[in-house]
Amino acid sequence: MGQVETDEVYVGVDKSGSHYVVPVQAKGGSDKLSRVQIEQDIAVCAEKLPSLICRPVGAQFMKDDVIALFEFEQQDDDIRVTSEKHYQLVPPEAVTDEDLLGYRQRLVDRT
Amino acid sequence: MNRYSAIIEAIFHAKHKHGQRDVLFERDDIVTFASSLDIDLPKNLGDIIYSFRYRTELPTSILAAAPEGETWIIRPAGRGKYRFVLVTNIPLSPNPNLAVTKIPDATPGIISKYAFSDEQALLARVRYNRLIDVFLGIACYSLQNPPTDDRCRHGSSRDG
Repeated sequence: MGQVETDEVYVGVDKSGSHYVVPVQAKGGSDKLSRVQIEQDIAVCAEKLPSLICRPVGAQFMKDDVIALFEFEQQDDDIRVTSEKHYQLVPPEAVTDEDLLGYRQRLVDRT
Repeated sequence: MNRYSAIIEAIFHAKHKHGQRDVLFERDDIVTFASSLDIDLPKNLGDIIYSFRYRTELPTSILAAAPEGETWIIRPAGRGKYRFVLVTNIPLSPNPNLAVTKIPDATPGIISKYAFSDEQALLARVRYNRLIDVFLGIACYSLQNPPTDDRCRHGSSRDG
């Protein structure tokens, strides 16, 4: 894949063997993720790696070491969020048993 | 202004009428307008379009012609044809009500020490903690990283 302006590009594989391309747009500080840049990311992937499934992702720093991740799709000529998660990077001991119990109950995400 | 901007601006302003949301132009227009502006054409005509579709923003005078909350982009419109199209440009912000998931931080200490709250630090943390794999549920590998000079830069926050 030639050098493009996408912040970072990942390729991936799932359990059935399908291949993916994941363009990642990253914003720190007060910068905001841009729909136009995401549309550009999708267009670049369609041109450079047309046989791969494109799953564009946005990453944004929030306060307290929280990283917001978004997955997007193009819908009706617009960029829409299909999934959003907030991950907080913490020392291992800061993940408590209560936290883990709470995560086990998020069964909706296991499907 | 570089020659790509001059050509694309001339095409847009010649064809755009107030209130239009869609402005069609053709590859041949690049030749016509470059000639009328007395600008040498690049060897690869397509690079002008490619540049504005994938690499850089359109010139300010074109963006200024978009209503609040929208912006112009270029899309293909058939063989040798393109369109300037108005699209929504509301920034995408994190939902403040969303639950937070704690992840044991696997960022190497030396990266944390020298990383700042900018795009490159964010990408490094995402990569070292395999957050893309966790988020998408697939095994991912970084194919294209940010340029090395950006990653080594520290001491000031990245502007933009």
